Amino acid sequence: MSDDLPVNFEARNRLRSIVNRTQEVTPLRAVAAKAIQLAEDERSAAMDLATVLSSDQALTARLLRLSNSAYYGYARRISNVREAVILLGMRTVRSVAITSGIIDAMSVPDGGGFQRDLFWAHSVCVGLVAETIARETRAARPEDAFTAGVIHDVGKLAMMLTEPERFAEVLDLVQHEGMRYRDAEYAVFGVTHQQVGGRLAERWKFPDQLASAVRSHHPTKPVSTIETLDDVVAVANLACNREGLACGFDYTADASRKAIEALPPRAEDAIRKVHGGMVTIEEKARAFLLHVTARAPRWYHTGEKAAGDDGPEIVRNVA
Amino acid sequence: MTLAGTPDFIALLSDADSLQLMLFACPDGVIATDRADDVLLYTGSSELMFGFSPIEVMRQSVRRLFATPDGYGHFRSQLERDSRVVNLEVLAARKDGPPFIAAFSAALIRDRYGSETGSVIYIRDHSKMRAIESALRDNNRRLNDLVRTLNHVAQHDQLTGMLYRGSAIEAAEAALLASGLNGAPFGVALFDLDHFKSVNDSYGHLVGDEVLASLADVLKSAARQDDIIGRFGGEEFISFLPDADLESVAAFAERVRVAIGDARVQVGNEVHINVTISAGVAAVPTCADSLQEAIRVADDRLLLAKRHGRNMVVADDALQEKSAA
Repeated sequence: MSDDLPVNFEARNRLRSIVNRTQEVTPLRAVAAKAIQLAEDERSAAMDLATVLSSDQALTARLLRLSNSAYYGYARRISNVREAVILLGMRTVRSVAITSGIIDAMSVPDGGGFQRDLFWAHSVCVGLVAETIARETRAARPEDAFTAGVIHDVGKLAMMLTEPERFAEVLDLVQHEGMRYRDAEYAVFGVTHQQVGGRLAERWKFPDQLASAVRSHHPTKPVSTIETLDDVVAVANLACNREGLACGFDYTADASRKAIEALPPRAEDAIRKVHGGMVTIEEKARAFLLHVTARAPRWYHTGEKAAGDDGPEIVRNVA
Repeated sequence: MTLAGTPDFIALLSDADSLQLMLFACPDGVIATDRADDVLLYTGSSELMFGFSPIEVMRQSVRRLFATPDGYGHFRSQLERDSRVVNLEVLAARKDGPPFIAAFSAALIRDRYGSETGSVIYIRDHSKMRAIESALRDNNRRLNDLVRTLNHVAQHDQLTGMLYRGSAIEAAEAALLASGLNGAPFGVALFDLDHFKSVNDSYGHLVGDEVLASLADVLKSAARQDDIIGRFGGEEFISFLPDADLESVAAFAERVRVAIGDARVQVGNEVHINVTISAGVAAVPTCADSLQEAIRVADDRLLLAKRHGRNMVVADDALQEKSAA
């Protein structure tokens, strides 16, 4: 099973060192770390959250920018964290704080086939699809599903950050030897990005179910019914990969590598219910990144239509 | 170099004729008094304003130019206290008409030893200004009334007198914001008339409107003072109940459902129509984290109620699980 510990001693050591060094190199904003640990259900936590968030001006500014954008579509002007917590809901604000804190901390520069914007585009899209599926199926809290979706591939970033040479090797195997990503990763590292991500989530003190969803977002057998947060994130990831919204590496442009597994019908329903479907979700992801990172993300076309008409902001992965 | 330093200016001032000319050319009334406050100088502009001829006021107390003793007393005490008065509005007397409002400015005149030798008073007729001002104020009030009416029309549905969807949600947001961070629960109930289309089809739209209006009345009488009710769509209504948890909002919806079931709308002389209503309810924070989410949940539950036979209130998702299984 993928969420077991690595089998051999060497791989276990590597897992530990990747996680340790990631934490050293990319410390989480204090506010995001606190937001993760805030009590879940107590109503008093809303006050704590507002107080904690207000202490970080940069984060507050981003949050308010996002709150007042079309992303949430509120007519009223939201002018402070307190109003955001009341109107958007505590869990939503918290999940925005956490995810934007992590996107901020794990900002790996472009290079070696990696494109930061595409990576986070994929992650945020998975988050949004997971949120949609969770809302429809009630298998998990939509806000948790969003957070889990956004951080599900964070293990890849950690591996890239701490062992860039090895990671380049993985990409080389994928691109030139035609290996599947997860096989190549396992061959080179002996650990998977799920294991790394899961361990990181534990270190960041995420609730167990979120860490578990990160740890098992590539299920070994197809998900037929959606019952847990694990299922939600796994299915959301599949849905995005199928649409070509895969994570920021150039091999994802190859149509033959797109996921073809069928989604559970309820997931399909949920996505279909979103007005405009995946295109809307992609636009929302763009809006989210735009407001949270305060710069326009470079984007890419889904599917094959990108061949000729590259606009100024649209970047096609270069092989 | 100031004008006062030039010899020409001194010459001008020392020439009594030109000084008189300057005083009399002033469009404001200019009056000078002696130590006993008797009038010594009374210009043509003053005469136009007060209507008294110079002979009637010269060597008389300036008091007679004020319409009331109070006005004079006020003016005099201010002058003595500050040695000057600026634009004091009091009622002035007019010989051949009603008193008029005028602005009095004045300064005490002192000799070189500092003792008072009299005063100079400047008077400006403010009655026209006041008239314009009050006309403006009237206009403004009328405009405000109009804006209020238009606002009301824009926010309220004519037929039922309820808030429209957007205004209702805005009001609910305001109520939620006012309740604060650790605020009490907040209930949302969505109602939908069952088979409203068939009422319209068989009795006509006017009867349909009457049914809607009667439903609105039931809702209004069931709601508390602070509850917000609005027309959500065609035959859908929404209620926001501050401080109501899921249980109370469900009880409220149930009361409305029963009351609608009992109410009969009369058509013509004989026919009574009996309608039923379905409702979905939700509450922050038990069912949802935000208002939008609560409305969505209530909407889902309303759909469930419709699917499971109508004329019912659905307050949880249990039915859905049954149907999904």
